[in-house]
Amino acid sequence: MDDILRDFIAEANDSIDALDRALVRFEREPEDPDLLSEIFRVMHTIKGTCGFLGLARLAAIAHAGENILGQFRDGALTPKQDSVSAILESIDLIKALIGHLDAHGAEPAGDDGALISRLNAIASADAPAQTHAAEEPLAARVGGLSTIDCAIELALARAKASPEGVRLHGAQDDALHSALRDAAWGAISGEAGPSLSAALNQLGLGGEAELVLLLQKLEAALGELGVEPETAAQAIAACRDTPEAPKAAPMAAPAPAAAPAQTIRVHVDALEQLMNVASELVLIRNQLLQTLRAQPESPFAGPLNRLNHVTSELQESVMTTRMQPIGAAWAKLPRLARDLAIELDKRIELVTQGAETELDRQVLEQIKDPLTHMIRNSADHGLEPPGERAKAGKPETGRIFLSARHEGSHIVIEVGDDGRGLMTAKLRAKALAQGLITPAEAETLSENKIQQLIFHPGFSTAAQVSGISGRGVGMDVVRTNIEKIGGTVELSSTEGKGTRFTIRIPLTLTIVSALIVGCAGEKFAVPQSSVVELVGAGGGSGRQIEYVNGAPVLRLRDRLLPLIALQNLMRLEGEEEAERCVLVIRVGSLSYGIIVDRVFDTEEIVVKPTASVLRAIPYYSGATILGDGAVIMILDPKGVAQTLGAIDTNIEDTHEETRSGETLVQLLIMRGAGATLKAAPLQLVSRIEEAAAEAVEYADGKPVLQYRGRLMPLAALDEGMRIGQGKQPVVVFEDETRAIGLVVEEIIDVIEAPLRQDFKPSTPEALGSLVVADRVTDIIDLAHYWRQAAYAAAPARTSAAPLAKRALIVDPSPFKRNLIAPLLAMAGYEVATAETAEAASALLERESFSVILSDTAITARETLAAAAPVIGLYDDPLNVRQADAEGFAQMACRFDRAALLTTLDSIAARAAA
Amino acid sequence: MTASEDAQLVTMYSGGAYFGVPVTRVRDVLAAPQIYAAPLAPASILGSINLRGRIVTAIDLRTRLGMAPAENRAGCKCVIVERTGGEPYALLVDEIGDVMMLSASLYEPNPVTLDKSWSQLCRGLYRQEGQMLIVLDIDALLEIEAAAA
Repeated sequence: MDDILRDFIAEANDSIDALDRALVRFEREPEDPDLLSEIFRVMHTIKGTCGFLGLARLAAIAHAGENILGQFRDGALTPKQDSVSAILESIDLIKALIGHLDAHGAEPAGDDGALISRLNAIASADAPAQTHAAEEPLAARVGGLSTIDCAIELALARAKASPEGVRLHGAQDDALHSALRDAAWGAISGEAGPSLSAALNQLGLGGEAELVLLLQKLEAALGELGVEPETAAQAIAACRDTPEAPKAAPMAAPAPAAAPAQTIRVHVDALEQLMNVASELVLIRNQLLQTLRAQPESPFAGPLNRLNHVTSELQESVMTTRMQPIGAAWAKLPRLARDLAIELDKRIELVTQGAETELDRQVLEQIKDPLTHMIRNSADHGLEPPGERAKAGKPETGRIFLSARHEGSHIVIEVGDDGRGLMTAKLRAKALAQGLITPAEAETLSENKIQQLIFHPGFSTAAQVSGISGRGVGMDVVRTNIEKIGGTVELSSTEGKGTRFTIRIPLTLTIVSALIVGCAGEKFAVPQSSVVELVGAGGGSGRQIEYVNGAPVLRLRDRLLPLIALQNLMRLEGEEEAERCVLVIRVGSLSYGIIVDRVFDTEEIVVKPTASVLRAIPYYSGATILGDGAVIMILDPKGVAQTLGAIDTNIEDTHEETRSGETLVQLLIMRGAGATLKAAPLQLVSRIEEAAAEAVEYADGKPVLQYRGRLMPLAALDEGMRIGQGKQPVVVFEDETRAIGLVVEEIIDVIEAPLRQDFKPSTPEALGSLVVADRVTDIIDLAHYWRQAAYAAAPARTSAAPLAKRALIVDPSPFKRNLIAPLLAMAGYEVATAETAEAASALLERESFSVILSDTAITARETLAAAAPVIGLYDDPLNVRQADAEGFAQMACRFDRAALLTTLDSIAARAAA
Repeated sequence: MTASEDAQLVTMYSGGAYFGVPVTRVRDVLAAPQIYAAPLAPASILGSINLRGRIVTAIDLRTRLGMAPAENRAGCKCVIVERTGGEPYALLVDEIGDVMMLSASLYEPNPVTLDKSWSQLCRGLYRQEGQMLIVLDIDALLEIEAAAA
């Protein structure tokens, strides 16, 4: 296969995916002219390229599809479900043909007459009556300019391929094509213009032989495109006989040189190879640095440090080449949701968020299928038919929600629906009947544990056959696939309200952060992503490992943690150390501890696959080479968990049990010099860095840190903290233009807690206090730290709005008001707050605001909306009902800073316009 | 390799026996590398070695063939062979011999009396002065049953 064809296939596949998505959107928003012209353009490009490459079958279908799209565009035809379905069908056929082309290098033989005539029938159905073909002008009968364009492409490609067409080779394709097309169109439509032979002459390709050849091919091509033979003959005759126009119109000026392409296509293998080499380089670098540590006086120290930096940069850049937006895996889902809706006779809306979130392409490939499966499940089992939904007081259109975001070195994907949820009672009965749980367990197992049963292999299939369970077609397969790439799936479901799956996947598979642990003289690596905590046991640490019927357990914050001794698991010989360390591991909803002798260090390790002869051992997920050249095995926390046995050893996780009805927010818990714990919503945190004392510099007497090529001011978490003492964790908060680093003594944990204010703030840097895991914790007021870091005068963000930027926040919760206010102030807004709608209206009588941000709980929206555009703020995208959104100009999640700012900008821009 | 062709073999000694491996399957020969343990691996797998940044699983030829392991591995040599498909393995042997060109006329199939555990791993022999040269079947050799984990 030649390169042109290969490129065409790659490009066509991309654009077809885009077409799929655009069409589904178009069906919903038929008024959007930009969308339609985008669709038209893509279809036209496919058609044009196929013609150019002489792919007649593809060109003919694309042409028929384009015809309908053209009619949509001209307003001659209104998009309906059947016409859009027909176009989607033609796209499917194009996809299939391209698939065949890719595999065999040629179009398959076959006849698409049926589909084409159906498409043509749709195209002509609403068009003005075309009964008397003969009375119509020739140009219309031929099918307009688009048909001629397509026919010329085909004819030209074939003429070149035939032996008589040698002279045509010299010409520039684009110029020749457009000249011929214009000439032919002029002739057929009766407009003045150069004749076909003149056009050929002008390009220096004249000659009767070429003209005859072209016309012959053109006639054939017209026939293939569905033009009646008689009409085609007339058209050819017209082309032949056009008298020479008085003066040939000057050739169109050559198109300005296209801007140089910013992207190139690279074969995946080349990238893989690059990645492997970069990984090797990282290892060699590590080895060199290890050597350097032993001989700090080495003359190589300087160059080695440079090598270190360059290698890190190389590694990062190579990683970014492998990153792709997750939207690529979603591309087919809107189409799937549409087809499912028609098939199941339900109304489904697919809401996606965060399609631009990037992850490793290898991971991307692996999650495509599970995601498709889950969407299918949601549509099939989760969402109720419209009638049932109406009865339950829900909007008839069911929502399937898909979102992605980054969290540390993980990507978190959420798939949810607002359907009927899992019916716990039925699951319980089913599990009991299948013998998966004992009658005693059926009584005592929590709802969450029962719901987890849908991941149990064997359970799901049977449930589906009987059709009584909520959902669960092959959920075990979904989980296995996700766990294969080091991910986890969690499930939460409320009967009657919906189901939500939370998938966490590491960003990349090849380099992971790992704890290096030692046990009986051997070293092992444990992926840090599954280690939630390190606990000392025995010796002077106070905690003791206890034994229940010989099985080791650890009391940890009123929970019993089952333990696995690595030494026994690995059958290693050696004395048991008195003081040991327990890694608290979390896999899905299961927590357990691994007993090791000691923990050495955390290291970025390059994961190498396990040798095939070792793959039968379930406890390893790979091997790696340490800085000193030693080869160690990487433990697979999920494999190790298998030794804990069946699901009945699962222990309750007390964190998950919270008061119902409250929104959980992830909080980063940290500690300064004082005793009180501090917390910040994790969504506001951009990174956690570590600052060594020598890296801290002082500008104008204030501590700063070089961070991503600029200076970041540092602030101490509380008054007792001193900056620049040893290595200190730095929590980085960022917006578009600046960053601030909060120096803390220790990062404690990330936990989910309901966001509510339990106590009044005790210090100026706190917004309020709440009880998290039985301890009083201050939620920090970021604005306080921004001020402290000399950002007091908030620099105005470049914005289109010259209007005074004044915002009013209406929210009954003081905490939530205080959460948003600093953000708006940072964005250059003057901020006022009101507790109730009444207070707001009172304020609105006296002052004017450019925008109002209101909690969805506020009811008197009309009053607000009369004064300024109102943005509705919600906590949790999954819990937004349609009624909530009514009366608001825009909706935004209050924890999603970026989205909120974008929304504000769009409102400001609209106001300015 | 079939019986009708001349063969080029890398020869080696282990547990007193004389073995050969087709030269096309041998990637490298090293002296006593550092071996890092792989706990729970089958007995014949000694662990992994770091071969210039690649992790290669080390197999003790003696144990694999059911012979007693060497008491001291300090002087042993290591032949890097490639499994069909390209995955490299390190075979630990007592000593490395030469690369030999062997005429097809000297080839004999496995004698019927050869122990079953060996006949599955060997692909015949070459008559040599002094000692028989046993041809090892690399792929069969690397087909190691997982130990009960």
